[in-house]
Amino acid sequence: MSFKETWKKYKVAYVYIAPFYILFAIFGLFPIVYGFFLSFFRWDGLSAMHFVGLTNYINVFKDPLFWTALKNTLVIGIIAHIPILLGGLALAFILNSKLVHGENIFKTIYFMPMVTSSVAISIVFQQMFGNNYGVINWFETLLGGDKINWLGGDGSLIKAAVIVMFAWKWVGWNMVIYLAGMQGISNDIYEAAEIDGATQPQVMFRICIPLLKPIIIFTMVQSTIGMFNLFTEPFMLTNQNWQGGINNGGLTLMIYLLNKAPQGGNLYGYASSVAYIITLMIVAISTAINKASQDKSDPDYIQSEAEKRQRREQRKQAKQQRRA
Amino acid sequence: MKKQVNKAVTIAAVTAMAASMLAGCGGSSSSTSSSTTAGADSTTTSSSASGSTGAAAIDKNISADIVVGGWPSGDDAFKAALDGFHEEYPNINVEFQFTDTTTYHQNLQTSLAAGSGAPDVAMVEGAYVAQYRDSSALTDLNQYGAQNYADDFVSFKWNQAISDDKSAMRLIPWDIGPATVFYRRDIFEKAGLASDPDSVDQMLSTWDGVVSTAETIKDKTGAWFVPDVSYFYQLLFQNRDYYDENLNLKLDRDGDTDCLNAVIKMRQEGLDMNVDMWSTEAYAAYQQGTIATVASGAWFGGFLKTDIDPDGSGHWGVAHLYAGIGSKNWGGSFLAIPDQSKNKDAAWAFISYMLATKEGQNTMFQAVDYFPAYTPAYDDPIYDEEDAYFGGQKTKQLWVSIAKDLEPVYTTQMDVTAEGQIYTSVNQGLQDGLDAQGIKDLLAKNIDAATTELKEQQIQTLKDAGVWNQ
Amino acid sequence: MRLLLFFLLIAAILVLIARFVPKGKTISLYAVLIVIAVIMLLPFYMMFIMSTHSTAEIFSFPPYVTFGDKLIQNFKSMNESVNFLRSFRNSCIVTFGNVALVLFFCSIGGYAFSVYNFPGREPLFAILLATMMIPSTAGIIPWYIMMSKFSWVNTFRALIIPNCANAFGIYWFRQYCKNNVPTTLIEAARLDGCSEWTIFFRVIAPILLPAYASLGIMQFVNVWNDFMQPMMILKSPNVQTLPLMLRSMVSDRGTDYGAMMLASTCAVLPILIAFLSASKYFMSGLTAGAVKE
Repeated sequence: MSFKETWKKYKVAYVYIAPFYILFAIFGLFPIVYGFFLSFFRWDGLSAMHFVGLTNYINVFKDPLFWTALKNTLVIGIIAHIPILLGGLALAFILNSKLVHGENIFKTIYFMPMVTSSVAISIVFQQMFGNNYGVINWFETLLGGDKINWLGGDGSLIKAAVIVMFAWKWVGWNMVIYLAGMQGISNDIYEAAEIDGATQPQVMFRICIPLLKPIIIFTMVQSTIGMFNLFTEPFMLTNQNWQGGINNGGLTLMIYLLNKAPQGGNLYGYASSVAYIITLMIVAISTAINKASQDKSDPDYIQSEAEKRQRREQRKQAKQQRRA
Repeated sequence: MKKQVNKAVTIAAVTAMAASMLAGCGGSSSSTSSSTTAGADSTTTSSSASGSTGAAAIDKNISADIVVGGWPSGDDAFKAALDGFHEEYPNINVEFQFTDTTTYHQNLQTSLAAGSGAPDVAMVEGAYVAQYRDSSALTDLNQYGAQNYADDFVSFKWNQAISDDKSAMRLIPWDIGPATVFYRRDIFEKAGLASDPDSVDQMLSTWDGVVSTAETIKDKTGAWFVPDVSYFYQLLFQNRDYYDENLNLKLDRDGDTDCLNAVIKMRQEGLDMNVDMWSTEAYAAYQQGTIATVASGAWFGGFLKTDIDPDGSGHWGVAHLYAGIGSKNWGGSFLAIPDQSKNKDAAWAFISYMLATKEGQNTMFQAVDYFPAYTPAYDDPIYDEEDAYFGGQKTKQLWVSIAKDLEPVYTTQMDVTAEGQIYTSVNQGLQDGLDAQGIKDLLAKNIDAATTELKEQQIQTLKDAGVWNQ
Repeated sequence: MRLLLFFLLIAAILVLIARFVPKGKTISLYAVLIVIAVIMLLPFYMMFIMSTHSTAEIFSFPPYVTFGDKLIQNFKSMNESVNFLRSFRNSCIVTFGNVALVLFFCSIGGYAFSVYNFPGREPLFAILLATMMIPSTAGIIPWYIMMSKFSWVNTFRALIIPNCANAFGIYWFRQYCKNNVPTTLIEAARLDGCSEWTIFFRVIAPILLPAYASLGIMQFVNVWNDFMQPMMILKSPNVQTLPLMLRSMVSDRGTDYGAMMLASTCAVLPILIAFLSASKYFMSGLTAGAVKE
């Protein structure tokens, strides 16, 4: 098919997808490329740029605070994923099981945190976790315990507060997505399972979860990206402290990045290299999640692999023909 | 306003020649600087000089729209002095773009880096001055004769704004923050202690005195002595002179061990509230009378009066810093003209009126308690007034005496970050039960980690200025 | 350590939930659901509560957990310090402008990826997915430089147009079309002599309604709450959006928490209402879109 014919046949499709690529080329590509360029310079935005090669990248890896930030981010992310994933699944399963009424009300309530402004709600949480006047410590004293200095102390409990906020926000989102997936599973499967005498946990672990796997992976990638972007919550909870509070307890990668530039400081070159390192980590983790979850015995997977191989063969043959 | 004409104010006035020359090419608001410093060294006062005459005069009829950017309550200050400004320059329209300090500085940064979008007159917080003084993104104000004001400003503040190669002056100091202790008279009285400033000075003149006073207050009234004890230690560094000119951290201070021992003891005895002094929890406690003292710059008096404790007139007093720490400055800002501005002449007219005239500075001081860095302003009856809010104390005299005592220091781009480490490091040290030396070591380690890249940038800046020889 | 125990506890509770299901103990199921609902609602409740108290009351012990009588006072104080309606209008312009364009571009894009088998489809789609991985902060400075070169600083354009390139939205519509648009329908329409353009608007768009609702709400929430980009672009007070207005209420000189909580409440309510009213469509859009990967 010649170029002209292709264009004529698929003009509509190209026109439909063009806006994205045009807008991205104008507004997305330049910043990304320029950011990459900047990452090899030392530049404060106020005076001359100086080329420093890979120094910025090397210095990032040499900075103990970077590793603290990475560790905190992973700890928060991984622990928070327990309630997010399990809680989301469990809630979705309950609401899907038709054992309870008013599931729409519950669904809506659980989803509400997702639609609120992080800035506003962080301020509320800051008050709730407050040492002297907080609601949570008030409960503690009512139950006969001592006040806990969540956001101060030795800094380790800041993470707990952040995890609570993070989980609070994301659990409803995951639940809704899982629920959507479960409702997509044909009722016949459930009925067949019930006839076979399967118990509910069996239904959940043997049927739901395997069928939901692609969706679970989708949400995991999404909340992984959310984890690396974690900024507003710890920042507001620590009273806008760029060190992430005492002992760097709430220092996340995004706080670390923005502290270098453009929010806290003006080390634009250094910050660009941090941004690229974070990007690479996101890409690596997302790919790893995808790879690890690929089921080699899944018919879809086998088929798509086969298609790929076939296409490769065809290309090879076409090449050989041209050469001949 | 014109009544306040004071010859002493116009030490660096223009000569008649310079004035007439400028009048010739004035009227346009071209972006090129039309000023000259020729003859500006002369101290002859021109016959037409009013209190607002700058080193280089700008045509009074210049017409322009300028944008002034900053953070609250700078806008309130400017608005208060705007009438006076418009009497001098009736055709300069001023638009204010004000937002919170952090957002504002980030905006300024990115606008300067991008080359557009910055205001014509930009406020710069004192802590960031080392980043800006060498930047060609800001206009060198010496072309307007800024150097002639040198003797009119507190040299502690003025010298911080001179570029590292000494050739340029890109920021003009607005205010300083003579640091004092603000204390609740009513709490001292309730604890059976004397509450007049002299007695309080006496009581708090040693760390032992501080600790025992705090104990008495806790005992008798239940009030905490300070929001967070780590700020005692920060006061030793309050001039933000963290580094020497070879960029070595100057960690050892006179009396720092005694200070830290007091800090440790007071935390152990639960004499501080253990919350950051800037947190809303602490603010509520100042107002409710559950914190007895807090140290800060003079501008904090304005915070108390208008926002934190507006109904607390007579409750508060002002005393010297704890344990003879001496004269320190806490904060204060500058004004600058970004090089991208299209209305530099009008911007300079604004800056020179607001900052380098007695009426400009004092009107703003009365509006928002930004203590002038412009020394001729102190020659005014308002500095002898009793302040009813502070129980009739002559607080301004105290602040003037501290202002005159401030010695110039060397500041760097790492100072803000280093300062940010004190609160977290001391609290971490206290939590881990370290002794004074342990806390200092921890602080040194944390400052080093947090400032590595900034230090590289600072070295680069000094190299660019040609003053780094290592 | 306490942290770990805390989460072990949560995990244990969840396991318990799973155990309860087969026994049909619906009462305990309800209890669990209601407890979690209360936890989810607590921060909202606290926000409403705090908006009816003065700052001094908010910071006192024991905390107030019921409605106070300072609502009017907070309202006055809010109106003194900020112009809520102006910010609300600005937020509406930015949000509706962007959401409308995003929905339009993403639906045609996603539709094209799903139904047309044009050459270059796979690599183009892979590029699209790859762009989703890059955190927007990576290029925020160059992005700002660009906006200022376009003279878009202080304009709503800068927030509406660049963000129209929404890879997730296209992905979303592609999934939805794959699962819900029968090719037979398109073919039938073609036989009737409809142009491709008419097919999309007359036949396809109505089918996509739930997808519009769900992506619309997600995008609405993102734009409505965005802080970073507006902060850099919108400098004059008269173009401030709501999150900027909220931030401007935080002051070194002491923040009026009561007024700020009231403003937060007012800023959150529109999205809550929008979400609650469209929640049926929203959920069904999610369901249909997610049926198979």
